[in-house]
Amino acid sequence: MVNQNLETAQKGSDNSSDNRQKKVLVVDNNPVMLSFMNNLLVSHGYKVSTAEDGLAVMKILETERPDVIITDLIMPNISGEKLCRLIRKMPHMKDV
Amino acid sequence: MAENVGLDENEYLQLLALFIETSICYLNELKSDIRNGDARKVYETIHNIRGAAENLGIPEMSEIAKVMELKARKNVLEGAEEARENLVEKLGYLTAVSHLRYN
Repeated sequence: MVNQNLETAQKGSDNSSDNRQKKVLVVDNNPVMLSFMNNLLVSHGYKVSTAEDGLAVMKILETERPDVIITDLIMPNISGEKLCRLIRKMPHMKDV
Repeated sequence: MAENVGLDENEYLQLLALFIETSICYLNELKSDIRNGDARKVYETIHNIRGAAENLGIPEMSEIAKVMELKARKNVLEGAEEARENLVEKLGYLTAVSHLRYN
């Protein structure tokens, strides 16, 4: 299912005038999932950053503005849902 | 299996090795979490195993983990230790098979 969605998204971006490499931030406390998503997204031409928890995400967002953030919802300390709410409050991140 | 998840064989085997390594830790954590009756921790930990097993195409483990996850989410730990032991057994088999594949 993830593969089909990525192919559809890629076709969409190929048709647009914006050929800049899209940046994706993947957040998951499971290193297997981080590696899996990194490999999958890179193979589809995306530039990938990864983070294992909410604190790491905040650190990354100090200097990076990804186009898309993919986050697991079930994580210790800061859940994915809570993380999304925190990110939405950041002025430069409201359109991500 | 690698093709089914959109990875080449080397990538898949590397991920499988990481899955085995992390699952050993998670399954050890689960033992004490279950003994302590901490359903929340069981839920968070088994979620990790379930997600990774699903994405790597290992239904023998993901199906067991899924049931555990759903029960732990409802604060039910009945049968959790048996399920955990079942996962340990499946992981042992997976480890043996992956070693055969590497060699």
